Amino acid sequence: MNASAQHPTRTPYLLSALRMAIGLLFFQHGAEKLWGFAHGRIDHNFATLHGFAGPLEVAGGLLIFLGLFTRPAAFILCGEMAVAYFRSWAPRGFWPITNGGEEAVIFCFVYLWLVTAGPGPWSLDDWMLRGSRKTEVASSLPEPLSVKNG
Amino acid sequence: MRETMASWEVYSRSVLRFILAFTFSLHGYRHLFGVFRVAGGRRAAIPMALDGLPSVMGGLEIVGGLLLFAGLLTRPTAIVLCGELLAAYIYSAFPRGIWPIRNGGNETLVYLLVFLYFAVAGGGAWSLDCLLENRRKRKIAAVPA
Repeated sequence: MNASAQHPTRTPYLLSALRMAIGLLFFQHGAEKLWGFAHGRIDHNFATLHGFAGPLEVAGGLLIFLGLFTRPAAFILCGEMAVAYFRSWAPRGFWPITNGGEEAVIFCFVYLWLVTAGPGPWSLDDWMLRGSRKTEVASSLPEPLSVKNG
Repeated sequence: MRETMASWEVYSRSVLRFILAFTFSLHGYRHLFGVFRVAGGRRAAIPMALDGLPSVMGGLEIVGGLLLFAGLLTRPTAIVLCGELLAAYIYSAFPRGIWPIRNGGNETLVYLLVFLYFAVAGGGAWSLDCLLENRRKRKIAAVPA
């Protein structure tokens, strides 16, 4: 274990703050498709992948923001972003910077990371966990991770 | 299950770092050398905030992106890049409107947040920082008492 791989003690709180901001940023895309948020293009063709992404992004963005079912939600959104990238952006060019899919790529990998990192202490997941295990208040703070040194 | 997932965090953070450092450094090549100019999709309508900075910032993006990709000096590099991204958001996205989805600042904010996390937590298990530190520790441990 070494310093660059280890969680310093306050890091989980930054993780939670980051997760909330990411959830809100992502929520905008769903709100745009469902309600035309910020003069966006409304798409209510729920049978198409682009239309179906609306409710998925609203619900997913909210769950990520609240930190409720964070890991499964992040896993599903990670898959959604991968599909979005390969269906809508990859055909327009190889490089994410030119085909417009950069945001899909970074959201995809942020969610992949959130699947493993979890919601952090400021989350409903953690709140429920603390409720169910009153004795282990600090259960959510990552314990020293057992990483083998080379 | 939760513990298993959490023990993979140091690896997935490194994967995240590889991908984001790579896509971020592409903006540096666009700035300095004018490549990757063809804009497709939404980017044609709303230019990304990061691309609104003066071209000289491209050097920072290339060097910073490479350092971050290698995971060398991750924390200081990430702090500097955070500063650049914040400047980009304030300078080119914020005047265009309040909502990040409309002012082209969405990607810039995601980069900013994730790089801030790297600055605090480090680059994860697969990084030169980690490798060098392990080597140094082993050398110290090898010294006979």
